[in-house]
Amino acid sequence: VLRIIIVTAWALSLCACGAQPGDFPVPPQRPVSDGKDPGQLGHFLRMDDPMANEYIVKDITNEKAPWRWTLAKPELKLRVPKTSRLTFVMDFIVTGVTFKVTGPVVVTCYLNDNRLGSMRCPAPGQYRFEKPVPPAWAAAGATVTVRPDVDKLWVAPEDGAKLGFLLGAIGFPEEP
Amino acid sequence: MSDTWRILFGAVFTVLFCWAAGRLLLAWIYRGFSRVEMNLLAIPCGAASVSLFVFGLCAAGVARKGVMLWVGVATIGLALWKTRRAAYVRRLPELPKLWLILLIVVIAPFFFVYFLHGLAPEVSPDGVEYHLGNVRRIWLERGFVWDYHNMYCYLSQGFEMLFLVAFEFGRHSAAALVHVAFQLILPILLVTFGLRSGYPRAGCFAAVVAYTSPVVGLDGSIAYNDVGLATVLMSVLYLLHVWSEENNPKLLFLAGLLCGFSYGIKYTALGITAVAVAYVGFVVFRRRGPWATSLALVLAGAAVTASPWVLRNWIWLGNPLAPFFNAWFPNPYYHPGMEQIYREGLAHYEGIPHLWQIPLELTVHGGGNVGGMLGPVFLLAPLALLALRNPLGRLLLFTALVLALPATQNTGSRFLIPALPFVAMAMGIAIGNSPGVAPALAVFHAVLCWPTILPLYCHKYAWRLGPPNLDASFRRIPEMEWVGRHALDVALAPQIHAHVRPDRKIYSFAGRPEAYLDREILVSYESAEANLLNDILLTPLHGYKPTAHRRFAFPPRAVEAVRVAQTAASQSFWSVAELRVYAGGREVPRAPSWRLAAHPNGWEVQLAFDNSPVTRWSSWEASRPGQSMEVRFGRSETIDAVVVESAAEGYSKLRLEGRGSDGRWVELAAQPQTVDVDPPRGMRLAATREVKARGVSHLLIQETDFFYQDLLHNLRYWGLSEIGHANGTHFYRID
Repeated sequence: VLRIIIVTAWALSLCACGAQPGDFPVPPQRPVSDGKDPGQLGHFLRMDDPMANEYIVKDITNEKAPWRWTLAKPELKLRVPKTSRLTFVMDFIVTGVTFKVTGPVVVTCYLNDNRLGSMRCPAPGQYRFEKPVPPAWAAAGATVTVRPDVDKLWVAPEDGAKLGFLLGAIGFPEEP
Repeated sequence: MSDTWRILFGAVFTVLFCWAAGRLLLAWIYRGFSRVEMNLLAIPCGAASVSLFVFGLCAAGVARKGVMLWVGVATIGLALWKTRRAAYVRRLPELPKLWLILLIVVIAPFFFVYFLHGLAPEVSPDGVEYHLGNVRRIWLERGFVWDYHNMYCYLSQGFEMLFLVAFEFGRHSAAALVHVAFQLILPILLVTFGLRSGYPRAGCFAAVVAYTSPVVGLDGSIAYNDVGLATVLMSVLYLLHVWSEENNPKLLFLAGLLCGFSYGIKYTALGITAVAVAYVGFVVFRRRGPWATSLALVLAGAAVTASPWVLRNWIWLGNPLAPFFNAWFPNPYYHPGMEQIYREGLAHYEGIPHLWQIPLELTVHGGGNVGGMLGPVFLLAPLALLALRNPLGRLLLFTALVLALPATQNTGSRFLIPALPFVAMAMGIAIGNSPGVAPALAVFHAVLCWPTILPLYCHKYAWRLGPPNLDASFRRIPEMEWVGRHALDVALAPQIHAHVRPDRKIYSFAGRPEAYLDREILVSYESAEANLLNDILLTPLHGYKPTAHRRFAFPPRAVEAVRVAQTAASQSFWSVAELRVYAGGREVPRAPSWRLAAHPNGWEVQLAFDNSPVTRWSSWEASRPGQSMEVRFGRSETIDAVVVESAAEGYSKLRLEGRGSDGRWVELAAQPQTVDVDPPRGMRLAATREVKARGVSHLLIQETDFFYQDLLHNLRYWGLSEIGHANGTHFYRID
């Protein structure tokens, strides 16, 4: 019996030493998260972003769609990225329905009340407004307000709603 | 076949299978029992054999209904044929008439209640989560599922092997009814044991108070295993007693088989082997008999039925005692730290302010976290000490003491069930000579334990049986409707089955009714994999965010490996979110030639090198000097800094060492400079993406989960969509 006990104890001590993990190679590297945190703004917004409403200060419709209507005085907030060349970009559509009434429109963008520039839209269609931003206007990491104004609004005959254009994306894209 | 008949067939077939196997075994080993004893002991003895047989089928992956049916039928047929003219050399004394009447009057109505509860759809918490959850998984896969990891799968499942036979034919309720059958055997065993040992009144008293005990009533009528275990333990003592009378060594092997089977049912019953060894050693020593042979017979028998579980875990997991003792047997499937947390969680009485209240809660109130009560008469358990004056009383109390030890590690009153019959019997011996006391106490206890009387005095949330519901028992209410009322998550089963692909997993912080769900659910504390998912999901919320960068700076030096070593001791776990190596202010890119190692928990070292802020390597045990993390570059690298990114772990003290081309380790920096940084952005989305990359596509979250409060306000930041909710549980898809 003593022999059995010794052998059993020896076997158990062997198995206690058994599992050793060894070493491992470097695993696949995870990309930096493009997720956002509550209260944290990004520097570029597509209107189908699930968090788009957090960027909107006023006068942009709130449907979940890739293109949203601007109303009388649209305004958004954005965070300024760290970059050597800051460029502001806005993708929008002037629709045929509104164009029939308004005719050619001029879209003017303001950054913290600084006039960034204007763009004339002589026909219905999709446009891209793109302007470099003077470094003094937007410090890296700061939150800025952006106002994309249109000189002529379309007024709905039924309820008097005022529509500007369809906004698709707006902000400061990353440098290529 | 209607549902009820199907259930009854499953249960009766399983019990008959056990009986038949037991009769054949007893006929081979020992024929000196009375007819009642032979038929009674045949069931637990046969259960050990059937359980072993089903274990073999599961290990071989051939646990099929047809195999069980035909082997069972053949065994039953052979047993009937072999026993048709069996002669019984012994007759037990007659039972006192008063007790016979009392037993019938008390046991019959309680049996009726237990039977109806067992017949009703199974909705017990552990039953639907893992006892039958495991059975269902084995049933679906026709054997053990080796790539499924869950601490409850690692436990021995001797009784679940019997459940599996019943489940094949009658599903969940058939399994519960097998337990009801073992529950009924217990009082009859106590009565016959009393008759054989010369204490008939004590046996009858014990039978009544044990059988009517509320926790025995509830536990034995659901798919748990505690009462079945108590029956097997009682059988061990029975066999040892017969052996001490008749001195037939074959009985020792049989008792050993049941000792091993007890361990196979529940680890906590390991003590019965110690009792058997001590008792046999004591008796043989006094008789100056062959003690080595006697003990070897007991241990050999125990090895036959216990070793399959030990070997399974040893081969499968590298830990023969899994899911416990992971610090002794490190393995990648269950963390020692999690085991410690789990055990500590079970060992503390909550909601009971004073120690003196514990006996009251355990016997009368069933409140706090004792989970049910033993019954008021057990307040008189100290009377059992009077039984110390005779040898049987001493054996009973010694056995009870040993079997009650695990209850110090788990506050649930059901952990006292294995000791209960022995205490009851000892109480019976103590008061047996006082005329009328034992029957009066037994009747008093039975009346107080009747399901409709219990609410008059027990805690309102005590775990107990209510009156049976005949509509549920006989399926006049559809089974799933009844289950959905009690196992609330089952209401989400249709959505779970519709949305989660069979090869995907669901993560949950709490256990779920897996006996009714066909998808793999990873529960936060049940496996190392789920621990990791838990960490990942809580990192964006808890203090685990990697905001402390410990920078070891040193003059440029050519090294082939670096090692960060822990130099402090603390009860907290040491963790590392990322370990980065720098040269000239730039991070040295991680190369395929690198080899990574850590001690302890080396299996998860890659978590510190995956560039993810939401994963982290953790020691998963108390921090202590000697723990380390190492990078071998595979070539000489000239470096000048190493940064350890982790949560702000103030208790950690780290040192950096490097190994040069001479193979010697030298200190590169004695201590780091710690810089606090902002947490990385977008950790919520990073967490769910990481979880998804690990095969988990959905989450089940309860409104009481800490995590839920953040989901309530910030769902979109997590990249989750809610698919449905029911009864306070929300079901989310990771987008």
